Amino acid sequence: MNIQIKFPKYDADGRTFVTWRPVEISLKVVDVQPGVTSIPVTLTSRTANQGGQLLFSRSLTHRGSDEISLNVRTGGTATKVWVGGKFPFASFSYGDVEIEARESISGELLGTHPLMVRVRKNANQLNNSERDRFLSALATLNGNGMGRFKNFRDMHVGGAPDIEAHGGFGFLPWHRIYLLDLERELQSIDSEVSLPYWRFDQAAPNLFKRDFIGVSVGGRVQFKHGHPLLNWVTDGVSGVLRGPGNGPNTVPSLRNENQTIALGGSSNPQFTSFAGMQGNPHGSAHMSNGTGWITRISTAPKDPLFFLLHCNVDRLWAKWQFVSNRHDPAAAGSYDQTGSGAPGNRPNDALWPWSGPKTPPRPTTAPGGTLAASPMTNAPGASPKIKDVVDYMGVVTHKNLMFAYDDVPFRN
Amino acid sequence: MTSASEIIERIPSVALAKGGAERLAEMLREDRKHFRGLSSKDAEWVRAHLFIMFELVEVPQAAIEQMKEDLRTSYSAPILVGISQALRSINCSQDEWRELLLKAQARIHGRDEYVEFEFSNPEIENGTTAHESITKTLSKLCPARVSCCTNSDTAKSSLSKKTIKLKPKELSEVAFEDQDSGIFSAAEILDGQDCLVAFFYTRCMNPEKCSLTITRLADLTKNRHETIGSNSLSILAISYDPDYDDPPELKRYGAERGFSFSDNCKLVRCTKGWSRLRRILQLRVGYGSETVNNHARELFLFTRKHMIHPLLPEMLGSLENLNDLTA
Amino acid sequence: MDIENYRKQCLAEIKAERRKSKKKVRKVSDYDFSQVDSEEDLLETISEMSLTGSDAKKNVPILLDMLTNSSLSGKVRMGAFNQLRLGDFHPVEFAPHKPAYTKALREIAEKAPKELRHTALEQLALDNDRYAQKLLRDGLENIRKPLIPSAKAVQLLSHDDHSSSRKIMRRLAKKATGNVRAEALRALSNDKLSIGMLEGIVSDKKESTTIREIAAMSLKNASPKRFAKAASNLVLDGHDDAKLRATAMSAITHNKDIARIVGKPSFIKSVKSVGSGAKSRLLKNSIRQFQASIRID
Repeated sequence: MNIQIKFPKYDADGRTFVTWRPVEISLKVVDVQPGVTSIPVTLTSRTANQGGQLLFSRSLTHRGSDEISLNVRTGGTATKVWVGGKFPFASFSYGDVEIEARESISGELLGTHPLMVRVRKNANQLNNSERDRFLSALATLNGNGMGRFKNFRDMHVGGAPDIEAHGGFGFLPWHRIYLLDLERELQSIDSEVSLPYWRFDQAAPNLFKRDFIGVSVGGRVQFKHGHPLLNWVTDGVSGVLRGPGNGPNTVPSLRNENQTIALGGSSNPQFTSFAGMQGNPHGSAHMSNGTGWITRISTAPKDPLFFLLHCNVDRLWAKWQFVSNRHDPAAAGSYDQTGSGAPGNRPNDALWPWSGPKTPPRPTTAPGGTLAASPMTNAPGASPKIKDVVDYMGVVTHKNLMFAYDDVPFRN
Repeated sequence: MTSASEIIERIPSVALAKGGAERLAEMLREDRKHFRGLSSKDAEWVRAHLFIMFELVEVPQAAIEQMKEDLRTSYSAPILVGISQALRSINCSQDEWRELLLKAQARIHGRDEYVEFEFSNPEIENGTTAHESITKTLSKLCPARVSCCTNSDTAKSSLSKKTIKLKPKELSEVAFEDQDSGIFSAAEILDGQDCLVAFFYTRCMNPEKCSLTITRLADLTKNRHETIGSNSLSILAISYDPDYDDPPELKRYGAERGFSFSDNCKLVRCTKGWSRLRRILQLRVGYGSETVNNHARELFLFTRKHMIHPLLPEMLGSLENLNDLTA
Repeated sequence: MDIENYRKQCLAEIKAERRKSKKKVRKVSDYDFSQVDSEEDLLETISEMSLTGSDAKKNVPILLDMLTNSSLSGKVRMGAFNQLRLGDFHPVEFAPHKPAYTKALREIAEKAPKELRHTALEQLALDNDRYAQKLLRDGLENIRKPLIPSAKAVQLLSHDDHSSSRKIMRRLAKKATGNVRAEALRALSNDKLSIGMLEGIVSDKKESTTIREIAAMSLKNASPKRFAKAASNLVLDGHDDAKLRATAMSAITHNKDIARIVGKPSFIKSVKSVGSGAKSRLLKNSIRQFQASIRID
C-alpha cells in the first residue's frame, strides 16, 4: 500500500510550492489491501542541505507541528491535512524538503512528495546559487523584451498615471502588485526564484558587488564580465545609471525597520499613519543612491535595484501587518476606508494598469496587460482591486497570493 | 540644421508680414523642414513660439484645429502656455474650449514649469506656468459659467486635410512588414475592402497619442463585428519609425495594449515606399536624428473605391462615429 | 520558532525604538534658521523638513531659498537640494512647487559650485529638460565651456532617445578616447548607421576588452542578427579574451531571439567542447548557464 500526497496546485512541470501560509493537501491510499479500512499514518518532513522545513496541522493555523498522525481512510474520500513552511526555515532549491508519509506503527515509508518553501529573502544573505538564478531569470526576462521594465513612457508622465501609483494610500498596494507581477514572470522562467529584498537600513556588502547588483563608477553601474545584467536594456539603451551612494559598507541614513513600523502608532495601529513611510524610508532609500535613475520615480524601474528596494518597502508593510494584526481589508486600521482618496486609491478601485484603460480622470491607456498568472494560486485575479491586495497571505480572506518574506510569518 | 533659437528668431517677421497668420499656421505642421533634426523638446519649444504669436495676429481656422488637438494631447508646458495665451485674443466663449483647457491643466499637473519665451514683446506675458496661464485664460473666456461642463469636445469640426483620390498603382511600390514578419504589398491589404489606417510609433513619449491610438484600435479589434456591423473593414496601424519598430517591437506594443491581431488587423512598418506614402498622405511627422521629434495623430479611411478620407483622430474614441462612417 | 513569542519580541523592539525616537523629536516648523549654532545642526534640521501634506507649502519655499542662496555653504545648499529631491516621491503634493523647483535647478545648473551644478544638470536631464539638454550639447560641441565632464554629458544626453544627439555621439565614438568614447558607444545602441563600426570594434583585438564589450552590447540592440554572428565567433575563438567570450556567451543565453539564431546543433556541440577545455572560471560558468538554459527550453 502507498499513500498518495496531493497538493491543491502544481505548475506545468508538476512542481508545487508553499510559503509560511499552510495549504490543504489530500492523502489517499493507493493499492489498498482487501479488508483494510484505514491506515495510521504519520507525516513528517525530511530536509536536505539545511533547506526548508514544514509544519502540519488539522486546520489553517500557524500553530502546526513537526509531525502529525492521522488515520487515512481507504474509501474514495481523501483525508485532508494542512501543511506550510516552518518559520523561519525556507528552502534554497526545489526538493530540499519533502513530505514523508510513514505507517505510524511500523515506520514503513508509504509515500513522499518533494516541494519547496519558497519565500522572498534578504538579498544580502542569498547563497551564490540563489543569487545567480535570480540574476539569470531577471536578465532573461529583460533580454526577451518582457517584464515591467518597459512602458515607463506611459507610467510616469505626470497627470493621471502618477496619481495611481504615488497619489496617496494606493502607493503600497499598487507596488505590491507591481512586484508580484514581476515575480510571477520570473517564476515562469525559473520557478525556484523569488524576488529578494534590499534591507536598506543595513549594510549590504554582498549585494553592492560586481557579481550582484553592481558597483557604481562615474555614475554607471559596473558588473563583472559575463554577468547576466551586462545585457540589461531599457528603452533601447543598455546599462544602468546609478550614483555611488551605496557602497558595500554603507548604512543609508533613513528610518530603520522598527522606526518605520512604529509610524503606524502603538495602541491602535493605523495604515493611514503607517503609509507615511512613502517619504522616509521609501523616498530616502531611493535617494540614498545619490544620483542616477533610481533617484527619480520616472526612471527608477530602469535600475534592477529598484525591485529589491521596493521588495523591502513591501516587506515593511507586511511586517507592520503582522505585528499590528492588520490583514482584514475591510477593517479601518488595515487601509483607508473613507473612500475620500484620489481615484485609483480607494479600496474598491481596480488597480491600473492591470485592469485596463479607464475613463478620465483615471488613465485612458493601460500598457502591459493583466497581472501575470501563477500556477500556484488564482488570487488576486487578473485585474485586482486594492482590497484584494491587502491580505496577501489569506489570513482573513483565505485568498493566498503565494508570496511571503523570510522574517514575516503567517499568523491567524 | 537650423537651431531652435534661429527658427524662433524668424517667427515675428513671418507673423507680421502679409498673410503671416496663415504662414504661421502652416509652420505648425510637424513635417515642415524647420523641424528637421531638432530634438523633441526643441520642436515643442518652436511650436510654443508659433502658438504664442497668435496672441498678436488673427488666428486662422487651421491653427484653431491645431490648438484643439494640442490641448487634447500635449504634455508640454510651453505649448500649453502658448495656446492658452493665444486664446485670449480670439472671441471664444464656447464651453468646448473651457473643457479642453481644464483637461490640459489636469494633464500638466506634475510636469509644469515657468515658461520664458524668447520673444521680448510687451504684449506677450512671460514667466508664467501652464497652470497659471490656463486659469487666467479661463477667467477671461466666460467667468460667469465656470462650473459649466457640457461635453462638446466631439471633434466634429472641419478637417484640415482633403479627401484624396488614389491614382491607379499609386501605392504599388509600397510594402509593409507586419508584427509576425509577414511581408505584403499595400494593394494586398487595401484592395477590395475598406481599411482604417492609423499612424503611431512605439517610442512615442506621449500616452495621449500613440498609446491611446493603439488602445482604441485594440478596442475595435476586439469588438469589431459588433461595432462595424456587416461591413468588411480591416485595421492597419503603420509605424512612423520603421527603422526601430521591427516585428517583435510591433507585436509587443500591440499585445500590451490588448490589440487582437488577425489577417485584417495588423501593426506594420513600411519596408518599401515610405517616403512615397508620407507624401501621398501628407503625413504630419517630423524627425530628429534618432527618431520622430513631433507628430500629429493621424487617421484615414481607405475605401475599396480607392478614396482616402482623412478622419479626426478623436473619432476612434467614439464607436458611434465609426458606425456612421462605414454606414 | 514560536510565532507569538516572535511577535512579542518584535513589538518590544518597536516600543523601545519609539521611546528612543521620542527624545529626539524636534519642532522643525518653529525652527529659526538664523539661530543655528552649527552647520551640522542646520543640516539635521533640513533633513527633518517634511514635504508631505501642508508642510510642503511652508517648507519647499524655504528649501528653495537655501538651494539658490550663494552665500550659504555648498554643504548646506546640497542638504536643501537632497531634501527637495525627496519631493519627487510625493508627486501629487510636490506638483504645485515643480515649476519653482525646475526654475531653481536651471539657475544652479549654470552657476553653482561643482556638486550642485552636476546634480542639478542630472536631475534636469532625467526629466528630458530642454534647457539642460542644450547646455550639455553646447558643452560637447565647444559652443560653451562644458559644465560637467564630457563622459557625464554624453551619459545624460543619451538618456533621452528624442534628444537628437546622435551625430555628436557618432563623432565622439570615432574620435574621443577613454570614458567619453565608451559612453558614446553605449549611446549608439539602436543606431543602424553605426552597426558596421560597432562590429569592427567587437572583432578588433587591439581594442580594450571593456570597449569591445560595450560595443558588443550596443550591437546587440542595433542588430541582433549581426550581434549573433559576432558573439558566436567570439565564444568559439580560443585565442580571444576569455572575459569577453564569457560576456558574449551570457548575452546569447539571456536573449531567446539571439539564442535561436546561433543555437544550431553544431554551435551547441562546439560550445560543449569549448567548455570542457576552458581554463577561465567565468567562461566555464557562462557556458554552464547556456547549457542549462537549453535544457530548460
